[in-house]
Amino acid sequence: MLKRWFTRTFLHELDLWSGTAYLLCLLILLPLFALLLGLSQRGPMWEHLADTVLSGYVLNTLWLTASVALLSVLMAVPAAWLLSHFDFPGSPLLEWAMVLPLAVPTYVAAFVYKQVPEAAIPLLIHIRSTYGVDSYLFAEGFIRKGVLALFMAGVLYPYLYLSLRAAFMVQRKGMIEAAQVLGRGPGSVFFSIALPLAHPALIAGISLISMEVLNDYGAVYFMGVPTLTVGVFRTWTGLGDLASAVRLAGLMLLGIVIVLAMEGRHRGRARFTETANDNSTPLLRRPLSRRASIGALLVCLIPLTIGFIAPLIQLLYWAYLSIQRFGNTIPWQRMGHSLLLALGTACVLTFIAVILIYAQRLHPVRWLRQPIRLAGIGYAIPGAVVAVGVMMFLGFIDQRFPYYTFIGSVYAIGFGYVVRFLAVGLHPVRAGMERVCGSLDAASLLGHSPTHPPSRINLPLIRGTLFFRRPC
Amino acid sequence: MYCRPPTPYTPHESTRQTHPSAASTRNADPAVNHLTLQVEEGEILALVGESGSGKTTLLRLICGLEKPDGGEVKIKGGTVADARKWVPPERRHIGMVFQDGALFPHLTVEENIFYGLRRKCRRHKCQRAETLLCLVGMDGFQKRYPHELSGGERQRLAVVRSLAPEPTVVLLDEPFSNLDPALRRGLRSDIIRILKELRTTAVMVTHDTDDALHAGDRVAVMRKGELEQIGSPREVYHHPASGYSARIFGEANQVGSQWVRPEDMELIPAYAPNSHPVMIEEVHDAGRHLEIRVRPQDVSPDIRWVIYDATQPVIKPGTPAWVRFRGEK
Amino acid sequence: MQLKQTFYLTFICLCAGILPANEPLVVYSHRHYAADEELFASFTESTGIPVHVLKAGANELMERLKAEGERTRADILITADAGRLDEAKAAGLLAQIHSEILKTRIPEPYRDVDSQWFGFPRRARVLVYAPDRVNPEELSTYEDLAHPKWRGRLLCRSSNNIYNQSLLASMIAAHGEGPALNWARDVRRNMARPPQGSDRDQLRAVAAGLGDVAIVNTYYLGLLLHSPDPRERALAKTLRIFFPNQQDRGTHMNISGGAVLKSSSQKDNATRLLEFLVSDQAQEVFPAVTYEYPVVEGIEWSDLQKSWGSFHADDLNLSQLGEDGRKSVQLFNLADWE
Repeated sequence: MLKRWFTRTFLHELDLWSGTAYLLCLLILLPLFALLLGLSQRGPMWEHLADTVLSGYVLNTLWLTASVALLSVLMAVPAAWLLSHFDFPGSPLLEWAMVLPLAVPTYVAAFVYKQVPEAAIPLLIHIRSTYGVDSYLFAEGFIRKGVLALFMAGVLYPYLYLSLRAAFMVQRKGMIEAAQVLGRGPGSVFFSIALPLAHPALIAGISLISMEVLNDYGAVYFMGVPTLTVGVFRTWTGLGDLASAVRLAGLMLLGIVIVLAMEGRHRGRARFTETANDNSTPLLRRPLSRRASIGALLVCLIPLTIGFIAPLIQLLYWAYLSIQRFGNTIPWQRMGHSLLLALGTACVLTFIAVILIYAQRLHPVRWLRQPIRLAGIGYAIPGAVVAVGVMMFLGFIDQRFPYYTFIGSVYAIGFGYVVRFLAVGLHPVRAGMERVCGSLDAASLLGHSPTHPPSRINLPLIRGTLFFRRPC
Repeated sequence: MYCRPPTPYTPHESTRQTHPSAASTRNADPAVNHLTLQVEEGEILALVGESGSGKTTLLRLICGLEKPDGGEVKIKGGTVADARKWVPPERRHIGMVFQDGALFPHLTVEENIFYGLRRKCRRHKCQRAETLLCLVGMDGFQKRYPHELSGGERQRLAVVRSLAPEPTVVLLDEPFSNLDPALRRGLRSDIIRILKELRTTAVMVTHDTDDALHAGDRVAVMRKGELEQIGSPREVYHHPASGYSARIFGEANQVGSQWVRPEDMELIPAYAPNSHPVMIEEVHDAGRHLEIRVRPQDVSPDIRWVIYDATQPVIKPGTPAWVRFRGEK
Repeated sequence: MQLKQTFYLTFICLCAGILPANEPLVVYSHRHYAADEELFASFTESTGIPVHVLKAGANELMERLKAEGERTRADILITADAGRLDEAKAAGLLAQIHSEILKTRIPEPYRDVDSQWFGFPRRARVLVYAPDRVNPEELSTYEDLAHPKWRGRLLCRSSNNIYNQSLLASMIAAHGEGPALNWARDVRRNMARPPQGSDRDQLRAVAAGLGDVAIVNTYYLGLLLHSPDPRERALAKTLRIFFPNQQDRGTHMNISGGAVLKSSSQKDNATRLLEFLVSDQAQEVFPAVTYEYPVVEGIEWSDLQKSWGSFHADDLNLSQLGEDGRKSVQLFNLADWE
């Protein structure tokens, strides 16, 4: 049985592409396997954790994820809808500007937004003196946690915005018009047709945002909302119990896998409900009346202000104060390093993603598809957890390969980035390849060897997506 | 925000569109222009024309998916669009069948039908769906999803969905164009039957003249956004008002100022007015005389030809035959 | 950008990693101060030994050192607290350094009993209060903060922070685990809000009137007083420092320290760098630039530090803190001090 499988499906499909892809997947997955091995170990502090702080971590993680997801929906959905269906002053600019909050890391936003609870101190003091300590503690928590959820949503909503807008843009014009003619106003059409049809994009965006929330350490620590990620760090470094930390990470991983599985099932069904021949024109944008335009501008500008404009202004003000007092001390060299590292990793990522996806297209077999899907899971795992896995793995390699020390080299960081961010490369490359219609693979029928199509035909065609798409 | 007190109901007009200079786009070359059209209650009006002649734009103007730059649209005597007023599509109470059906893929057949029946009780809605589905032979399909239906079934569902809310008028935009010819004929007769049974007022856009002649109580021919001719299918077919409307329904020949179908002509030898007529293949007006082509077996050297026009008999000098129009006259 | 260029770029980036490195002293540092860079630069100037600094979080550095093991390029580890150094010592990473200079200049509590690590600047974890709401007479000891009279008046950051862990470790050393746990629980209960933010944020909250007393390190007040933001400077001026436990064991001290790694191939040069850091020239930099206290006695304090006054420091040997640090995180967990 196994032998037959081996010769029939494995050897038969094995060539340079599939072999390389398979090895790459293994390489990327090994650090995560190393982590899984660690999962079985029971750390000395596990019971202590379970008795004291574990439930708090889980609760904080759950409510924070839920409220950030909800707030991002409130921010991204109306904006995506307005910017894909209507025309109003500033809408062409806003269409891409809405993505800018992605440039603000959550911990930077935390640094800016911690001033809000601080500014509320006089109010809190008033509450404490008039309504008592309990009301005060409630109000303090409410403001702090509310601000945390709000600015995290403000920084993370673009994930949802991007995926939703893409979905709205390709939605069929006829569908919306049919609903209008059947007697439904714009609001009703949106909720009964446009949004349900964009459901897969909604779920995809929300799951990306949830993962970013899970991954965050700086902001939640700073705002005093210890989530599981904080727990992982604290257990690892504070309690010195790596095994329990890995277990906590495993708990998160479990939650993430469940979320991903749900998303996958959803997407599967959506593909099923998509009608086959779709040759109608995309929607024309309807111009809005002046009053409606003001409303639409507000709807778009509020999230943009929370996620980008306000932090930008504050940071510029601080930079101005600092330069005024200490002189111009911009760390050009460090910025250069960061840029080079990011650029290099991005190139390597794209390269690997192209190899994997193309191999998968040449060999649509299970033994290749599953590892490639799994290889993208790093994106769902907090950076710290990936770092542990990479360290464990490279440490093992270094001990047996004495000619070069990987740990501490640029490669270790690069490898970590690849493990964590491969999905960022895989998604757009796959989307691009899927859009380049299957018939192009006829190129191989026309006498090109399988290595030619990606460079000659597919790659030039998907170039746009390689550089500009984000995972959505 | 758009509603004004409705103008008094005029019983003889069910639907009326007047477009002294209606244009759908704000450019110099309007898609619909100088066009006045009136549809009677219970009538099926077929709109034909080449692609780009403004048929679909006219439909979209009627149902409110486009805003006219001028002119007016009245439904049952009530203005829905003119210089000051514009009623959005959702308040016009019009049904529309789109070319691709535009069914909602995430809703079942039943839910698709219910979509336009909002403020009705569930039992009423189910009943309505059942009646309509029975009418198109799709009873029992209630719980299926659109992707589980065949092309013909989808289009039937699209028609049923548009009819469910009992609209004042149903607009059909090329409803059969995505179907193969065999399916098409069956679906066409089905849909005409349903429209007639429900006494629905309908405007159907098509570029297939066969559809138009079969389905329409009246046929309107459009050209470059203007109305070329309107009348019963026979009138439009046999007495095209212009070369455009003549050509659009197939081959036609100009005889004098008139356009005549080849099958409406016969050739009778002048010396034997009662002899067997010879079929004309083609007539070409060469200015001073007509060139007539007949089948080779009908040509004999001792035949002399006389052209005969049934309505206005003209014997042109030197033309040795009769041409007689066949058909109704 | 063309695809081809992308792949060339990829190649260049891959190659850049293997560029040959010369042989400077490699320092893994957890301290992020401009002052440190000045110090290293003047060391290079006086000795000709180049110094290469790699800055990262303490946890990352520790994990990296453990993983690199024998083959690390690092010669020196510098951390912002004694606990981490002790952790490195326990992991067997540090070399024993026999240096008369280090031994004589650094007082005993601030260096390892086995001469594996050495402290340079000292930090005092003190109480900062708002003089309009707190009479300094009311303040006495850390222990006193557990008293119910402080209900809703205290401010302190999260127990994730090593300074708090060290403070609790010193409580364990002084009183044992049980009383230390009770203390942490009571102090947590007395807090004006759940732990959050940095030491600076505690100071700002006291200035804003949310709480009356904050447990912070002294130099944060110094940093706030010299902030580029004029509003922060104004806030900082309203605050006062109180050194607790003057009548008994003294104010809790921590150090920022360094150690030579066992695997270093340049132990002599590394030792020279450590010795340089306790020289008068280097020690004078700490009070002036980072507002930390010099570890060497007889170095002149900054005017700001002089204005805070002299104090009696806890002479608990900081080697103790590493062992009790772990314990303290458990106690914090039990005390619900987030």
